[in-house]
Amino acid sequence: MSNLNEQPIRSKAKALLSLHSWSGIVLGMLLYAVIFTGTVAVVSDEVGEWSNSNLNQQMLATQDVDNVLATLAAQTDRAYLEEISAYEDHRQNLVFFFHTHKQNPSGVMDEYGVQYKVNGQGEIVQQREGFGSDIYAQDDSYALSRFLVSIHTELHLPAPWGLILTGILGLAMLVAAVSGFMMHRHLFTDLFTIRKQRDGKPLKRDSHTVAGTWSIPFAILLAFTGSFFSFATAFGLPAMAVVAFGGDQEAMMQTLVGEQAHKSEAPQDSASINGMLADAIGNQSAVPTFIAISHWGTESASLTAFFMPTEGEVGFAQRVYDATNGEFVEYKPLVGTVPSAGSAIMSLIYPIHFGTFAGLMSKIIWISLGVASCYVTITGLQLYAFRNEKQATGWQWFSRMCVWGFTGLPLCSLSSALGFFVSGALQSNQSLWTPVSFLLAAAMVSLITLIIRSVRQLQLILLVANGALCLALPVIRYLTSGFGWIQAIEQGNVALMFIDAVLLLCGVWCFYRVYASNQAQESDHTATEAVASEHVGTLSGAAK
Amino acid sequence: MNVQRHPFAFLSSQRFWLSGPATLVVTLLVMLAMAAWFPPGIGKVNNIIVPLVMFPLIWAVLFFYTYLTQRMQSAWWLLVVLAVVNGVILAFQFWGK
Repeated sequence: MSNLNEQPIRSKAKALLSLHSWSGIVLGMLLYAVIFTGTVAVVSDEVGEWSNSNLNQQMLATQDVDNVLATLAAQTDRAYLEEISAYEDHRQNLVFFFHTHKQNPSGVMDEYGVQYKVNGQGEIVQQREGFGSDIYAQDDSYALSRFLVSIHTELHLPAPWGLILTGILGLAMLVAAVSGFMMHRHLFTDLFTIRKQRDGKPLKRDSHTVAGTWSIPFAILLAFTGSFFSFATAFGLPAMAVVAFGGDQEAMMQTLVGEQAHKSEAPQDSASINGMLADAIGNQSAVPTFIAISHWGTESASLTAFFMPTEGEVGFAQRVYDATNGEFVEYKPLVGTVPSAGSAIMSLIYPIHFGTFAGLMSKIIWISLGVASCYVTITGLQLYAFRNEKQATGWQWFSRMCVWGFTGLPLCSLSSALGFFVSGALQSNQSLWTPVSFLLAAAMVSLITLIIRSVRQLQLILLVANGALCLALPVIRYLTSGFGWIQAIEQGNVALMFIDAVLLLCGVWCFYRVYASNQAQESDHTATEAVASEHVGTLSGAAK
Repeated sequence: MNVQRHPFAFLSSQRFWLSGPATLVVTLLVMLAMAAWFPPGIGKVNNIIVPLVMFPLIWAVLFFYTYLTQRMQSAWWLLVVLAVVNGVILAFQFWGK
């Protein structure tokens, strides 16, 4: 293949700069959307608790699970007793999902059965039948956290295209981060050096370089793990099933999940779930996030208790019990039936991507690095806009688009939270109104972007709107739930106070940015006027 | 003097085809073939998990090599060899038994 454009010898530095710029420019805005919502997704559990003004009651430890399970099982179709999952939701209910497995209308293997929500008094407050994915998609208690996480994972595009796009964005981030690293001539100097412009403001390129340099290891890790999750889910696992299992996805899932293909369904009384839970809690010094009971009431019955990483541990833990006699069987690896390199890798990838390896502290570090990565994306695109505006006047649309995306997305996300609270207060469908509020805000932001001529003024208006919503949301949350900080302190509800505090801090920061921008403009005006009057003085002196 | 380039000029660049579609296809072939030749281990899951995890890494290594190399011919040969070797492994996996 001949190529006239290719120069025989390219400068490596120029090639890297070109790659770094284009990987950011072409997908920069979408990358920002994924990084921003990913930063929020790090605290999705906390957002879930905050949005419901809830504190996890450890109901799996305090409720009589045996009794509730027996009552529910008696009124449930026997086919759904194949597997029962149980966990506590964000509204102080224990959720039991009695299900079997079958293909959903999209052709994907799914759970199908009946879900019961049982309150602290043992009363059924909600009952739904259907596919697990549909039931979860309609669960109002997760409406806000689910919506924000779904932007991060698939940008709300239909499967598998959303996952493929986020996978490509992960690769683009990997390219931008690695090329950014390779471009450095003085890595350690670049960690700290911000030179000043003539007007005393920090040099834009240095701010981008410093933030980028600090977040390079984080960006590489997150881009790599993120693209793995997206591609593996979108096409990797089905493709592996074709090669390694002759297309039998069920056989592959059984190998990965570590389940025997054929189980005896001969009836046999199961041991006490409460007893197994007590043993698991005692040994792990924590309450399981969820439990899965397989083939309950048969001689194949087993119980798996799933634990988030506990103090000093990096990975998740799964304790398996023989539910016919209540005896502990094994610590089950995350993947497969016996410890393996593949399982160890998977156990590491999850905590690395989600920042769950050291509780709230690791999450705060992940959020900080996520914010730094957002800043790198923003300043990267702003640099490009700034450079082109200097060369050609027709490039103002790019700056306008940057303001629309960078300031508009947080505003739309905050609006979805507003929609969640207001629809909840009005007893409306929160799963519907949370995304609708986001879309309404997006339409409003787009309209304002088209109407307001000054890009600076547009940015200030959007900043004020962001600041106002950040300050208002904790108040609205309090008004709709009646759950204030005094109760939160009394109960030790750290998640709620953390999200409230972050919002208040962001609100103050937005208004400070508006104030600083106005001050800077005033001082620019004063300086221009001083120069002009000095110029006039010089001219009149010369005339005399 | 600034010469205005056609927006789709990259389509005529050999490096675009090398680092873009060719690298992606070869990475996919390597990942799929790994399911056949990578030792499954005692848990019989390594040949599924490791290729999936390696996919972004293999792609990144091949991409940066093909993008930065001055010797395009060698890069083409490397991709062709990888494609043929992994293609043969896959063909054997499907039709050779």
